[in-house]
Amino acid sequence: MNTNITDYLLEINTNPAMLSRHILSQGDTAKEFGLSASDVELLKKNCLQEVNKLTGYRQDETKGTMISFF
Amino acid sequence: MEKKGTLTIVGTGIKIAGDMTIHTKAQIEQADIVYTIVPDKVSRQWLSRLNPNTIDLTALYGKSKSRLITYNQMANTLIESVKEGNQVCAAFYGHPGVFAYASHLAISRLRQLGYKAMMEPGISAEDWLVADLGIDPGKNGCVSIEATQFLFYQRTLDPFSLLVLWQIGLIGDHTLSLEKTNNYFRGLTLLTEELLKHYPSDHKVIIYEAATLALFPSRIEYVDLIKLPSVKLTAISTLVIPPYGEAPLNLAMLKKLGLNENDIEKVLSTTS
Repeated sequence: MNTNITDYLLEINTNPAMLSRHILSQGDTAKEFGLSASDVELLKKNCLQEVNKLTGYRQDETKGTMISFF
Repeated sequence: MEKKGTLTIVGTGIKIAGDMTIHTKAQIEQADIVYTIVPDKVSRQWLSRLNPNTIDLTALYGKSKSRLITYNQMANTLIESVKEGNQVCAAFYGHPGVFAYASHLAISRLRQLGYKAMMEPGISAEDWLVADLGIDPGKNGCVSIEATQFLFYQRTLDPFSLLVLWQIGLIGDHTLSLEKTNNYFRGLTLLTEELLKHYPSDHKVIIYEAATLALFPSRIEYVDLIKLPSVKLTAISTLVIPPYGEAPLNLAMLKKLGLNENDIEKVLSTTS
């Protein structure tokens, strides 16, 4: 995975002002952060499934989530 | 005398990095070794940056392997590392003590062996649920239970309370080894039949999934109870059933307390 996009996702998750700018900018904030054109395009699509694919997060998989017992 | 190795189990929260407390971050940074159970690469990379000596325990999961075995192995890994004299930190997704058998087991065994072992809370899916849905579990009370447990055992349902059923995407599974949430239809159908004995068919229930990335909203999907079996679920889906009206007053109890219905209404109608 491209390290820059990880940095960007972490920044967005921890910086509310950056998140607001990202929502308003339609890709400019991601570009200024230094993301590649393909990553900027991916984020502009705003598709959870595609971003999850990138981060390796599979919502249908039980691995990685702690599951309780009956 | 307390032995040298220690274990601190912390929660990374639900929203990656953003949910982590300052104290949890320091615990991770200052540990000799950090064991992690988190569901994605972004979280793993974040934790590795905080402490490069990080080991991913999700490698212990195996195809068709019971999670009970996996969780025992996770606990044993933590215990052995502490016995080696390490200041161990275990960083688990969400709250490390909620739906987390391995953490409680490791702490309990280490304390029995004379080691210092403790847990620090993290933000759980339940915390986000309260915030996202605007539901106060204190208003009508809350029954919070794992969905399969709700089906397997005889439980008393109180429709006047908020009902939260966790791991609904795994409902009915008795193997403890499902890798994917693709086998819930029968359990979900039986659950719906059971709930329909207590709620009307058009009672609005909620499928909830807390967001891990701030870029995307949490999943909040309202559905009529009767249509529940047709809903698509994932490993992080939770079923939230709002109360069906207000519970009737217990007039006999009020009388014993020297009160009546008007006394209660008078207090509750005071808004300013």
